[in-house]
Amino acid sequence: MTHPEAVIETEHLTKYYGPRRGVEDVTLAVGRGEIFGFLGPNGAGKTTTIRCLLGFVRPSRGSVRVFGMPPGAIDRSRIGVIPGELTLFERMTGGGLLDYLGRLSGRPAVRRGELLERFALEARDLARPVRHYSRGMKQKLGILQALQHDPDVLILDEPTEGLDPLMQQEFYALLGEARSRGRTVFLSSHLLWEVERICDRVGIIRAGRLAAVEQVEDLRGRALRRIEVEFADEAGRAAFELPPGVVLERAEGRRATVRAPATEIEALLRTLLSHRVRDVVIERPSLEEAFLDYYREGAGGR
Amino acid sequence: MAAELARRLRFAARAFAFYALVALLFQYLLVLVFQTLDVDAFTPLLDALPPGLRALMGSDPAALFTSRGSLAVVFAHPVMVVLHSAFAIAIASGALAGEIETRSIALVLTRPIRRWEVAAAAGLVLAAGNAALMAFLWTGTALWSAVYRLGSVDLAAFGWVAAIGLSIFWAIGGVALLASAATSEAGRAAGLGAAFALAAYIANYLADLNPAWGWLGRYSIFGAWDPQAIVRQGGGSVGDLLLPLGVAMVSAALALVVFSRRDIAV
Repeated sequence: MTHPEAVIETEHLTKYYGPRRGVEDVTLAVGRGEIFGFLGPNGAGKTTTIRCLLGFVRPSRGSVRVFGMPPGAIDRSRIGVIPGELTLFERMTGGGLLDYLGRLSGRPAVRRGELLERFALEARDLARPVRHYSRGMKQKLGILQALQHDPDVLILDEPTEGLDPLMQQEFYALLGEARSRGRTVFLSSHLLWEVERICDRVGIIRAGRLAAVEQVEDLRGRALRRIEVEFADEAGRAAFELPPGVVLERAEGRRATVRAPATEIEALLRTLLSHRVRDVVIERPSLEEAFLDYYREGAGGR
Repeated sequence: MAAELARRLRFAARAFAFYALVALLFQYLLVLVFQTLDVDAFTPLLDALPPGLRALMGSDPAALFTSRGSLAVVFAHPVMVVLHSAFAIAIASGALAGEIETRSIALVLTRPIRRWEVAAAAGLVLAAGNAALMAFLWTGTALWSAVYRLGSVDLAAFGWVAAIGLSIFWAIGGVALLASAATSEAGRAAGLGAAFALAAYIANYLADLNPAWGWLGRYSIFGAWDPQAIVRQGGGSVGDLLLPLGVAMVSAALALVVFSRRDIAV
């Protein structure tokens, strides 16, 4: 898998922790100006992939490149990271922590003032020790430390944990702006609606293996639609025969709920024309449906 | 690396202040006790002590009742050894393994700083903290002997005591730093550091207790650690520093290598 302007690349990335599987044969590329969502349940391998990207752990096989360089040679001043399960140095003040991490980054904190304003943090907040911060405040500080030096690549592991809805919106707006300025974002999340809302492409990881990498729209388009049909009477519902590719989810009284891919909708509607039907509701599929489809197929031995 | 070093120094400052204060107070207490002792009454008592207890008091227990001897024993008193070792082990184990355990090290390792620099910053703080603690004790020796007019005290000889002591606690700190670099839990790193210190101390104790175990002293970092003898002889020798300094340097170098190469799953 190649990308014309790949900023982040993994090739056959495999990591085992002793006998325990981390990830297996993960190949993906994330381009400049792209927001890439990395989806999967707990333990699927999202964090291991990020650890490999950041050089925290060495791949057992395969390779990782950021800006075309292996982790040991990456210019880390160009990267901003919000680690999963963010832990800050609790004894430092918020301001002291930002200063310290800014100095370590080696680039001026050009966006700090703007970010403080957008995330409603005041000077007196920064003067307090981090241990006195609420969960949301700590997460805001985590966002600030990752973005204050205006990095070219953002690697974010569950970045909105603990943020209130207003601050989440502000954060999504920031990511949108980052994309329009050509920044690359690698976002690991288990919040499907979050990924659906802000990501251009999504990778789904299942049991350590990359199950799919697709545009969010394509993925949603391939998801099975849920169609609720209300027949004129129960006998009509009982006589209804499912066309190939359509799956019955539930049948009760006059109502039937089926799931069908977009390609079978026409055949389904033609079949329904031969019945007395009172109502048909076709739900727009969400990313959640697509994601769950992948996992259902996986559970079925895919 | 300067920013990382500054942070670690700030973090260690509070612990250092606590240990330094306790060390100075303990030294002051021992000086006060010395002033109240009836030397003539205690000498026969010392002679009657079992060998196991006499071994804890250095090579010349009778010298304990001289100003020189009582000041020297401060450096090797079990309380002080425990205090000093605890400082070295606490700083070392909290520095790397502790920050891996809390995951806060992720904030540092995502920055343009090499891992060996992170470990080196921790090692430098450890070395400086131990040196400052030993300098405090040496300064205390000069201070209390002047304030309480304990007679002439050879401060150069006490400088040797402090130097050999420092090399020993650097060695303990180095081993604890290596344990901290190789593990992901502060408790485990501290346990390994403490086990090393305890094993070395017991080996030296056995060597002092019974000539049949004398060979153990050669392999213990505490082997040349007899402040009373050093003060009596007017100083130590460079050879006394070699084993503990060697252990300190090798373990610190290994800590840098291990921390640079290991997986850090945060």
